[in-house]
Amino acid sequence: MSRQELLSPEGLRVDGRRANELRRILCRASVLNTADGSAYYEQGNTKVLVAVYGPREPRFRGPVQHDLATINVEFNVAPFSTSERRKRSKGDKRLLEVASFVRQAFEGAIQRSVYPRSQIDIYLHLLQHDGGTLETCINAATLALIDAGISMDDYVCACTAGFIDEVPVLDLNAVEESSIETPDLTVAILPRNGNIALLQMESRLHSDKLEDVMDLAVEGCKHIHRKLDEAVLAAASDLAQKLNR
Amino acid sequence: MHATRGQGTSAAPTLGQRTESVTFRRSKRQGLARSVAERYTREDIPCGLHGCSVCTLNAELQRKGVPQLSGRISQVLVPDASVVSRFIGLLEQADGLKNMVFCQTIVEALDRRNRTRTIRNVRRIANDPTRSSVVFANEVFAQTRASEGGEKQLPSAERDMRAVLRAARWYRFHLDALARQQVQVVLLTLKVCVLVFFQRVCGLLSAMASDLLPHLGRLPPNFADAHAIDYSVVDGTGSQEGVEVWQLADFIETFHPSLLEHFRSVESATRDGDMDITAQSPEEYAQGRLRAKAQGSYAAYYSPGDIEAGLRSGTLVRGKIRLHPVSSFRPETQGVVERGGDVPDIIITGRAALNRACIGDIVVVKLLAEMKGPQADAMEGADAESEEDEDEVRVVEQTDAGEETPLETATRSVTGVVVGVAERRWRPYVATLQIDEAGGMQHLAVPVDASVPKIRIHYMDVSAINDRYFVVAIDGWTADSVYPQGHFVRALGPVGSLDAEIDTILVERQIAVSQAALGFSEASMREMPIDTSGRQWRPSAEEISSRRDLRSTLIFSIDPIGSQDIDDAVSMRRTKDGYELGVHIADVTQFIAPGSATDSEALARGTTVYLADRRFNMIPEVLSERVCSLRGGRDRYAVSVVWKLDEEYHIKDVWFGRSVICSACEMSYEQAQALLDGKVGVEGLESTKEDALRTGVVELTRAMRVLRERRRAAGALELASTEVKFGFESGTQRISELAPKRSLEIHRVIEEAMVFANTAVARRVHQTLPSAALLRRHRSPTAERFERLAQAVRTRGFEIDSSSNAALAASLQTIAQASADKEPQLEFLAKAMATLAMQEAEYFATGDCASSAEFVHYGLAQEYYTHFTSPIRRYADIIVHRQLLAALENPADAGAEEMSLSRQWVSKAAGQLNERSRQSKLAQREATELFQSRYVAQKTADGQSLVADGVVAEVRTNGLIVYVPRFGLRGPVRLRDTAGQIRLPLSALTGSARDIDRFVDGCSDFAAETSSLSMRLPMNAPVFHLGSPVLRFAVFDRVKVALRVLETRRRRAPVFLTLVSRGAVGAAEAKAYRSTLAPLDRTLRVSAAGRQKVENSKDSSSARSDDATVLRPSQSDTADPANRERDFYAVLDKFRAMSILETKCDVQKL
Repeated sequence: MSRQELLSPEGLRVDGRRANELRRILCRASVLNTADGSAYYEQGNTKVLVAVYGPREPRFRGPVQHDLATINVEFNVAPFSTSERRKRSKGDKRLLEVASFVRQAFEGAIQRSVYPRSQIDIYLHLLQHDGGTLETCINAATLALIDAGISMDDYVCACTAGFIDEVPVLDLNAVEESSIETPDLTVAILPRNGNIALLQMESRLHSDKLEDVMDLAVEGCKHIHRKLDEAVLAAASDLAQKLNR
Repeated sequence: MHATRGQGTSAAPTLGQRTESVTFRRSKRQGLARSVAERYTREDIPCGLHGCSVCTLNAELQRKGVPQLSGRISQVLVPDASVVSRFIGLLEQADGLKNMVFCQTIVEALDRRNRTRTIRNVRRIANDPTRSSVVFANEVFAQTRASEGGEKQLPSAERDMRAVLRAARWYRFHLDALARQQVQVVLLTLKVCVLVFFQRVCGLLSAMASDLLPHLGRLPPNFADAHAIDYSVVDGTGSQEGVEVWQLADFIETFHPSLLEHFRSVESATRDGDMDITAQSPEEYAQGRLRAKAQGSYAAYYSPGDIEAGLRSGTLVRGKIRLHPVSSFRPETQGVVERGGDVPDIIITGRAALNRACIGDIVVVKLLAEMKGPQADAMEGADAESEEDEDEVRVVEQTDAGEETPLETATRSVTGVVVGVAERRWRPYVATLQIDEAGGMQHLAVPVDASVPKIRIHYMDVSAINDRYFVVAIDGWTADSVYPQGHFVRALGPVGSLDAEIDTILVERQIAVSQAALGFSEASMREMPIDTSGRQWRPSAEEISSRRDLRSTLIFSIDPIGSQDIDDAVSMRRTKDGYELGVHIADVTQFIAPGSATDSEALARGTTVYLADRRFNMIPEVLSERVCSLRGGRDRYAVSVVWKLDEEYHIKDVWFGRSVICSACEMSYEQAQALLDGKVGVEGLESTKEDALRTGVVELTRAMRVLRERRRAAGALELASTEVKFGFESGTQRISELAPKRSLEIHRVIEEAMVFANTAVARRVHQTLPSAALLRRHRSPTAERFERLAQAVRTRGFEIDSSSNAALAASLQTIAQASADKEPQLEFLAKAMATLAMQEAEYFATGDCASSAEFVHYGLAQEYYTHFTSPIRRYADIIVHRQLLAALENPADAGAEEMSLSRQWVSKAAGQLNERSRQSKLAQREATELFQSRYVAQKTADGQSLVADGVVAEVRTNGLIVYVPRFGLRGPVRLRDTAGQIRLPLSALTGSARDIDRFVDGCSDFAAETSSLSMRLPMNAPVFHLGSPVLRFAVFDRVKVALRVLETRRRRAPVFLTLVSRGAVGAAEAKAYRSTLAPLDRTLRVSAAGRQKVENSKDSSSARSDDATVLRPSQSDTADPANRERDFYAVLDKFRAMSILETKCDVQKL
């Protein structure tokens, strides 16, 4: 892997961004006809397709809760998602971990008591990988859940931030993420009240720096919120057009 | 939780266009993989020109301390990729070159070639404020980004050149916009063709013909071809503005003539190299790297079918491999597959030939040619030290314990390559981390065992395992990977901490996964009898009735002070017609049922492990220290061997069987020796028992002296070992005392009694169980193995006859007698070398041998031998106990169904026990080394020097191995470093420990032979007190050495030695310079005559003249005056003080 400087003294990152810049975000809701809700979400070169089914009758009786909906998240990585083709087994712990993080993030946001004894399935499919898997999955799932018309308190917007050469850095790509020195913090917030839905970091970061890194990530989340909002509006107006025709 | 945060940094993206760049990446599975990266182009890239009115970001960068192009400049230099990559040395060192613009394009091109160092140099120039140079991010700048000819186009040299041109042109444009037309923009290149092409494109040829024509005069002969090629990559969008293009050579010549010489030297130094990255496209480069890597990896293994066929036809051989690690005299790792018998060993040299085989693996080898004679390096021996990659010095030492058979013993050998691995013998390895500044999650673990390859591991948190020992396991080793892939298991502790070091030894020797794991399971504790202070264990009356009651006999035990696990006791008394000798061994099998949890645990452990300050028991403490232990005054079960001997100590009758005894006294060796020496009122013994005990000890000693003499006449060897004793300060881990164990006569008495019992039991067991008896044998070594010993003792005028054990014993005896008073260490060293030459004794099942001739124990000179006397600490003895008891119960039944009597089981157990005892022996040795090293570290902690007398034990190619008797340790003295430089410490000449880190310059003629090593001192050295400019060291020479430890982050800190002075000189040299010293010698002697009898000194001088080695190391002034004047060194010391200044001082004048 490249050992190049991740943040040049001139303040530029490997892909030409500055420290506080997000990658390009492209997203669209309602991309699949078969699913109850779906979305395609692209952040830089990380591309995710999500399908949401439900609320529906649970397939298995086991996890049913009599007063709440259960959320089931499955996360798959396409073998062609990286430059080297690689198949992953379904039991891959890293995949299960991402799925469980997504589930945790949404358990607080979805109004589960509205759908007792039912199940909401979120199928995430990573088509291309370039860092920030968890943030893109959460953002894409938000869009798809809204598309499916599931009651939620708010959007759940996620963003990563890292810390390179004493500078907080927003939205890490794969090269930046794979460097061991870079702490990699993922924050998911409910943008309206600023509540934190998920906060995840596996590496070490000095506690003095955490505040700055989190501030930056939250800023990123707010920006993503606007992007998602636009996508929802676009999908809604699209639907309105179809209805009016 | 609320995230109410203030307005931090704004995340508003001000991105321009998004593009993608494509690069090649080496990939494990597919060779080359294309990888795509995003790239955002933007408008806010600053020019870096100080005081630029357009680029506002300049000021911000300046605040951050990023240097800028000077505002008052006449030239902006834009070097291209070829200049930067090939002449970076010039660019960095030549301070005159200022105001350079390094394009990002070049930095990225360098990164693609892994030229990290060149990038660092570029950055260093750009960070130096005096150079006023910048790195220009042209690749992400919308105005300078060169088109790629489609998004997925790969970067190429042409494209990069175009990008640099565009950057240069942009600077021209920018400077014009700033109304600074007078500033020249100079593109520096090495390529004439590029230059011409650029001029054509820009239409400059006509405009600047007059300026440039002189430079065009040097077109290469094949200009036309190159010309044509370069036209194909013409960038049509050329600016008409004037960027001056110069060849670097001409530029230097014109503007910086003072740098011309520097330029030429860099040019000639880099002519053939592949420094210039534009010579090869990135793809070619990546493929080249891939090929290089493929060559570096391994051949595929043969298919199972091929291996099967090959083994059957004899072209392939299967065997267990041993590895000898790389050292400075052995450039490549070497593997040896022993085939046993007369068939020569197979030598496998080099990483490729070893083909991923690890130490101990069962490999399949294809034979290559047979080699004539020994290996080229055969007689040189291993290095005292060898350099490792990270400047760490490792000490490779082959010393006692014959497990490392020296390679030179193979007189003829066959080479081979590994074509398959039948069975992996991977185990968990203790390793430390190789520090890799690049970071990442992939690391290399460096095993403590030098013969194990480095292991790739994946670990997140480097700082958690840095400078720590940790356990790694190997998962696999694919043909395309240089190192095996493994995983981190667990951390042991920081390097240097005592517990971590002990854990390391335990794991490496496969004794346990940690010290904590050496407790016993609940299941085995449940099987234990109860013996607490409140409820003492007593033999049951029923059991006593079934045993022979020997409680009335006077039985005593002799063990080291403080022993808890007493497994043997003896009795000796006169009878009417002779003697009755008894050896009583703790009856462990009474308490451990075959197949019980305790039994299987004991078998797995094999032996109790004693490590200097701690002990790891084979059976639970309640047995080993209480119920089985033959404590004084307690009734205990035993298995006894009782002989009836006649007056001449010949055996008349022998009885084996279970008994119950009551030991009268548990004595220490010291107490027993005191009794033997006739001391009255021995400390710690009850005076009432003293007389009875004394009689017993004396009678026993008398008998054993006779038996021992008989055994010695049969050819038994007395071998030496370096056992040392540590004393610890109570409560701390500090070592208060370190000394070799003293050997008393009583030690040998007890040893003899045990040999006598073991032999008797071995005969008895074999008689009833001809095929399943567990015996112990010691095979006779081959004569070649004694070659080194023979050569060494020859320097002292002795010969070694190794034709049989009796002959060898006689040779050693001669040496011992002849040198006892002159060189007491000679005997020890000769015996130690003999031990090294021998094979290890081993357990075996009698059924595995063709005839009883193979049972012979070479060292003890016994036809039958086994281990019977220590069932508390060796599992073999437990098996033998069971076999003996079964044999006694049912003498006829040889084919019992009991497990411990079946040949297969015994044979398997014997293998396991051999391995365990070997590992435990090694662990003990390592622990001894560990504590010795800690002791030396402790003594030298505050910069003090620790100087001791030593004897040269071995000569190696780059130094000596010196044995220091005071501490019972051996250590390397290095006289030549890995580069071949002779490193003679000044202290070797001055005799002062202060000079151990200074070296004598200009030594020459370094010559190492098998048993001596010499070097010529420089002419100006203060040498005349040595008599000769040639300094010579031979085996058994006395030296003084300073002991120090080598601190490493990797492994146990080894002790190393530095010469402080030579204690003695070779006989020939001594003779040569004695004449010069004689007058002085006489003067001093006469002056001393007043205090000393003249005859006395004459005697001593005549004795001395026989052999110079009698000379003793210098004593201080406080020494006994009687010795003082005999002491040659006192004279030399005085002499030396003067001689340092005056090298040509005339001795006579003094």
